[in-house]
This record gives sequence, structure tokens and C-alpha cells, in this order.
Amino acid sequence: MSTVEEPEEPTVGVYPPVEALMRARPLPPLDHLVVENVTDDEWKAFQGALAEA
Amino acid sequence: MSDARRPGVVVDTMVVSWLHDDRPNQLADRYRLIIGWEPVVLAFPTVIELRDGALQAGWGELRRRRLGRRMSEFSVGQPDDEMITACAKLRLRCRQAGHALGDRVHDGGPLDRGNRYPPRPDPHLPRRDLHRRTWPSSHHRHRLAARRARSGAPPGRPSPSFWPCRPPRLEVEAGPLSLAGPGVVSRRG
Repeated sequence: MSTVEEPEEPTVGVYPPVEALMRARPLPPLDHLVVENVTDDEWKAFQGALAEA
Repeated sequence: MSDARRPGVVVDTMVVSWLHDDRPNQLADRYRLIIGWEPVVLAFPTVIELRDGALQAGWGELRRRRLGRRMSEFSVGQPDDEMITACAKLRLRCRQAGHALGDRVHDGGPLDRGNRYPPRPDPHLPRRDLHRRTWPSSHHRHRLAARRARSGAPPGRPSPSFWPCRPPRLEVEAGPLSLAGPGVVSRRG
């Protein structure tokens, strides 16, 4: 995948509690959520960092 | 289902991280089933932790952007005054009930609640299953173990104040929202 496919910094929509709930959708399909091409080492480091947070 | 009682699930950092990976993971599969078709909300601390985790792990810009793009699929809740008050009340009630969320190790926990928890399971499940599915969550074990290791504490079962045998039922109302039990938020009529 080239960087041209993702030219802009992705942002998340942040809303007050009730609006966040109203805008919430069910989990997307797996292939819409997976971050591709993360190596085992990168994934392990990521999980380690989250566990320490 | 009417808007007045629309439920949602606030998904924990560790859980949502597992959903971003396609390696075999029984926990991710299980949480997917538990979450089901409920609308999913992330708490803003979860976004912080995921972004911070990617930076700490040395992910390059491309991977971080991919993660950001995946996170953009979710609605993220920001706290308002009522939510902050509700969290304070929830924390107090947790402390009074001996619930782990009342402990300082879980600072920020009630805010992203049920971020740390799966949604309330089927009430018809046998009680042992209900407890197993709701408490303690695997990431708690992981985080507590890491903290204990850093502090030099011997490994083993955490103190009862950290590790109640079962979650008390907690319900706090926050303006139009109701936080009821682990991870379930509803909009009240």
C-alpha cells in the first residue's frame, strides 16, 4: 500500500457521551479493522506497550 | 428498539487492540461474540493508549496511519460534567463495594468504563459463567502483573481489594446516560 492511499492524517470523531452513543455503530467486519502487515515483533511490542499503560 | 433505551458497549483498550489484528486469538473471538451487534463506543483514553502504544512500539508512520484509519471506524466519547460526576460516584461506589475499579491502580478506569470490561453478558447465564466472563478481565491480570513486577512485589494473587471474587452490581446515572454494570451504557428516556 502506498502512502498516496492515505494522504491525510486519520482522525476520530469525538463527541459528548449521548451523541457518541447515538453515532456508535456495531463492530465493522474483521477486514475493516485489521491493521495489515504488522510483523510479529511489532505486534508484540505494541501489546507490551498497551499492557504497561 | 427506541432511542430512549439504546444500549451501547464501551470497549476496552486491550480488547479493541486485539480486534485490529488477524492473528488467531481466542479472546478476540470471544469478545466479538460478546459485543455482538451492539453499537461500540471508545473512550478517549483508549485512543490515547492505542496511539501511544504504536509510538512506543516504534511503528512507522504508515502503520500508525493505518491504525488511525481503523480507529476512525469508532465513535469516541468525550467526558462532560455529568460523566465526570458519574465517574466520581462510580469510583466511590466501587471503593465501598471493594470493587477493583475503586483502586488507584485503575485511575481513569471508571472514565472509560466499560472500556475495561466486556458488555454485560446474558443474565440467564449460570452465575459462574457470568463471573468468568466479566471479572477479572485478562488485561487486568496482565497490567497488574506488570505493575507488581515493576514494584518488586512477589508474583501471585493480588490483594482482595484488587481482586474481588465477583463484581458487585453497580449502577450510576449520569444525566441522560445510565452506566449499568460492566461496560453497558444506555440512554435514559
